[in-house]
This record gives sequence, structure tokens and C-alpha cells, in this order.
Amino acid sequence: MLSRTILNLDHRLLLRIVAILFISNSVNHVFAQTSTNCESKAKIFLSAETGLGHGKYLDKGVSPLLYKGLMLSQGFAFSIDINKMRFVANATAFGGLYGKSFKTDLVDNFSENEIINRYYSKCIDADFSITSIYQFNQSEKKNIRLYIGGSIEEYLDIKINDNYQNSSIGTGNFLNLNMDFIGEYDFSFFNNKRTLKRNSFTVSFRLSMPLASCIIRPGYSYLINANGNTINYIPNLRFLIGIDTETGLSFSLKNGNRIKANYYWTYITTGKTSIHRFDDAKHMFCISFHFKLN
Amino acid sequence: MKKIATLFIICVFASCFSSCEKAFFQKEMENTATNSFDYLWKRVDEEYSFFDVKNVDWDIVYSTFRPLVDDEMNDDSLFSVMAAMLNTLQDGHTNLIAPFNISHSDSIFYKMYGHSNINKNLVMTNYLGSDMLTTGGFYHNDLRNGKIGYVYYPSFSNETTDDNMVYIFERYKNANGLIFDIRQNGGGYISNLWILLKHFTCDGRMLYQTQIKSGPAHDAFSPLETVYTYKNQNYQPYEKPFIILTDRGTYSASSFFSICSQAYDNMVLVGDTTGGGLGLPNGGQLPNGWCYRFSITRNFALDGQNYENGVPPQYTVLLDKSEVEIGIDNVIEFACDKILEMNP
Repeated sequence: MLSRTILNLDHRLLLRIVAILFISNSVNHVFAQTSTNCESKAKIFLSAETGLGHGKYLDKGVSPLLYKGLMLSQGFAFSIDINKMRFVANATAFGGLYGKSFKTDLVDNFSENEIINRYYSKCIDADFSITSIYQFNQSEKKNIRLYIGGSIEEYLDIKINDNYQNSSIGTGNFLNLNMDFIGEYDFSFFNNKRTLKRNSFTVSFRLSMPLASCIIRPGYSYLINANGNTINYIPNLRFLIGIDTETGLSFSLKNGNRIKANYYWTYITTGKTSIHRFDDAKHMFCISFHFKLN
Repeated sequence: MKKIATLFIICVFASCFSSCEKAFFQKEMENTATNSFDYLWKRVDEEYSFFDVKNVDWDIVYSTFRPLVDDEMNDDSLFSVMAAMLNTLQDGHTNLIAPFNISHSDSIFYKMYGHSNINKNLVMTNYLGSDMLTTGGFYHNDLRNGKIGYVYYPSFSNETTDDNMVYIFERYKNANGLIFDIRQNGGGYISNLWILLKHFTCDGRMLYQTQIKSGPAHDAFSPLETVYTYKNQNYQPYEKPFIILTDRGTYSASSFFSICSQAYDNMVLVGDTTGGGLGLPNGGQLPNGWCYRFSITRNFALDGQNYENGVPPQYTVLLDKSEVEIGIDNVIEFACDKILEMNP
């Protein structure tokens, strides 16, 4: 009963925060429409991104050990730039294999050969986000753009380690309300106007932080309950539980399409006060292709 | 030059953020024998669900075994100490799993294999026969000129589908009843339980009550939750006598099936007390990489009893060796007679 009440409160609070974000973005949007005389033509991009990276995690619900491994990612995004506003819808899937190895010291002088035991954990992640950002810097320097805004992100994390038997599947569901900051700087190394646009390159940096998060993770005993109907997962509201950065270099083609190389670093934690602390970090190197649709 | 400097600053800025990760990340527990022992003891202390039933003082267990552990000992010796510590729980669902060995609770082991109430060769040759049918994980045939259907289900890990159940009930629809033999069935997927029980009722029938550990205190459990069968709107429920044969090797999911029989008037338990194992085990890993599992739920039958140490049958019938020698399984014969008595 108590947990239900807490859950209801959490949802109400989250709904309020979501509402405030949307209202503030709408105000921003209206403000952007009335205060600028920029061209109002929207730029629409569809992008596909592939990446390879390194990740690590520690889930105290099932193990006190740090697992490290390789990850692959594939993502798709749809973005619209209208005046000083930018809206982005993004979906990314991650798949990885993590491992941990130990040297076994059996009976004394049992063997001169080393016995190495390896434990593996599979990882499947999915990330969905909707971002709305507003360019807040003055346009004196047209090659520098600074954006601020927010995003709603749904991040699903599944770790599978068959050694844990009935606890072999650990699922974490993070519904985040993020604050986003983006800086972009256009430049060109070459001035060959016949083949390249004036500012062909853009270096960018994005910082995203979850202000509030609704986390659903396994409960105390880290297990689906015995009757097969109810699930022993507990929702919690947390604040500032992670950080997400993106550093990128993009190259614009003459037709408006772009090729971009990105480095992502993401870190998320359930915090020290959670029942079973969970930390997860990823370093991804990605290549993406942005196709201009209009 | 200015552009390159800007690029450089951004890259340094980004890498500074990524190296912050080490400051945020929780520390991995060091791989030592004492850490592994203490970690396992604490996990059991805070999460094990049957201290009351097993009558074990876990603090005394710590003070008995902890002095035997030091960081210089080899893995084999450490395994022996930790396995002996877990053995005090006498729980078949409690195991230590190292790459070179798996621990077992000794009395459960001897109960399961030393008190077998079935002679599998006899069942195969004299009751199932070479013309037996194999439907999913079920082996079956008719007995007593088709008056009895006999189904042998050796493991809940075997595949079970609705189609399997429908086929068996259809095949023996003219029989007076069914014998369902789960002697030495050590359990498996509890999900098979719901498929089986769905075919005995149309309503969502109350089966048992369950609790899960919800805190570190030994008596910290979630509120009792009632478990029901799935509602069945597609299949005709089986209402003829259904005799379940059990023994000490009937463990875990098959013990669950045994306590669920209390919910059905046509189900009767015959044989020996089951092995128990009515807690759902979870698993985890120690600082040295070894894995463990132990029970973290407890369940109460409809009569309010916790049958963790075994579900007693309604009719105790032990296998008679002298009967076995002349090719007769007296437990099956008793069940046949019981069916014909219940449904002449």
C-alpha cells in the first residue's frame, strides 16, 4: 500500500515536470517565431548511425564484480530544424558481450598449468528519446551555435548472465527527463569553393543530464515472483543519476547531406541509496550518415 | 591554428568528462578468500527464506566456519569450507557452483536418491512397454485393458504444451482415470505447472500463497500473495480421478504440483512424502567468480502449511521390493485400484 502511494506520488511529480518542460519549450518556440526574421524554411534530416565501443557495468544485485566488454550499436534519428528550434527523435539499439575472468588456484601444486575461468554476460540496450532544443546565442558569429533544451528518454537495459539462474535476467528501465546543452562550431580546413561548401566541417559537443528519472529495477530479492504473474520490480524516483556526452565532427556535402564521426560517453547509476546499486558506462565510436529530406 | 586549438579544447573537455567515470563508479570487491566467504554468508543471512523451517542459527554457523578461512588457502579448500557452511541449511536449492565442483546438501541428496520409490526399469518394461507413446515430455500408455491411463513425467524441464495435454486427455477419455507419475521428478520449469493445471479447471482457482524476501531481517517478507491458475476458456477440464505418484525425489516444481493438488477434488497424492524444495532459488556471484543459489521465497499450501521439508501423500504406499522382484510396482497397482474405487 505504501509503495503504491509512493509510486503514485512519483508519477504525479514526473507528470508535472514533463508538463513544465513542454510548456517552456512551447514558450521558447513562440518567442523564437516572433523575435527573429530568419528564413523559416525547415531542414529535415534522417540519419543512420553505426558504432562500436567499450562498456562496463557493476550490478550489486547479483555480483560485486565489474564486467567489461565490447558493444555494437545501431541507431536512427529524425530531426527537424525550424528557425532556432531543433526537434530530434532518436532510437538506438545496443548489443554487447561482457566478460570477467579469474585464475583458479586449485589444490597446492595440483598443476603447473593455469586454469582460467571466464564468465560472460550478454547485454541488450534500447534507447528512445525525443529532444527539443533552442538556440540561445546571438547570431553575430554565425559559425557558433549554442543550444539548450530538454529531452524525454526511455532507456531499457537488459543484462543476461545464465550463471545467476532465476536472477539471470536483470532489467533496468530508466525514464529520464534530461537537460541538454549543445555547442556547434562550423569551420573549413580548405577554401576550395568548387568542391566544398564554405563551412564544410562542424565540430559539436553535447552534454545531457537526467534531471529526474523514474527507475524500475528488480526488488530486494532480484527475482520474478513465484506465481509467474506479478513481477518483483520496484519503481523509484531519482535525480541527477548520470551524464551523457557526445563529441562529434561532421562533414557537410554540397547536396546538404552530412557524414559525422561521433564519440559518446554515457554513464548512468541508480545511486548509493538504491536497493541494489547499478552502474553502467559506455564509450562508443560511431559513424553516422545524415540525409537531408527537403 | 585557432580552429585546431578550438578542436583541441573540445576534445580535452570531452575526455575530461569521460575520465570522471572512475570517480563515479562503485568499487569492485577484491577477490580474496575472506571476502568471498563473508560475502556469501551475508547474502544468505539477508536473503535466505527458510531459517525458521531449517532451525539454523546463522551467526553460530559464521563463528564455526569463519576461523577456517584465510586469504592464503587454495580454492579447493575454500570450496570445502563454504560448501560445508551451506550444507547446514539442508536445502536442495542451495548450491555453491565453482568451475571445478558443485556442492549439494547431503541429507537432501541421500533422501532423493536413497529413498527412491520407483524402479524405472520396471516401469519401462512392465507398465509403459515398447508401444508407449511419447508426447512432449510425457511417456504414457494404458493399463488394465484401457481402464487406466498411465503418464510418466520424469522432469519439469521437459517440454509441456497445451496440445500435449489435450492429446493425452483425448487419448484416455474413455479410461476411468489417470495416473500421473512424478516420482524422482526433480523439478524444472515452474511455468510448466501453469500449463498442466489449466486443464483441470475453467476458473482461476486458488492454489497456494507466496511471499518473497523483502529485507535483511530473517522475518522480512512481502505480504502474502495468492497464486491462481490461469483461466481456461478453451479446454474441457479433466474431472475424472487423477492420482499423482510421489516420492522423496519429487522435488521443487513437482513438489509445487503436489501442494496444488489440494485445490482439486479429483487429485489424490499416493506414494512417499516429496522432497520439498518449495522456495524459488535465486542466484548470484561471489568476489572470486563462483556462483551460488539459495531459496528466497516461501509458500504456503491451502491448508496454511509450509511444506518446504516435504509434501505428505494422502495414501502412503512404499515400493515393495518383493513385489518388484516378481515384476509388480505396488504403488501403481494401488493407484489403479484407487481410481477404480473412485470411479467404478
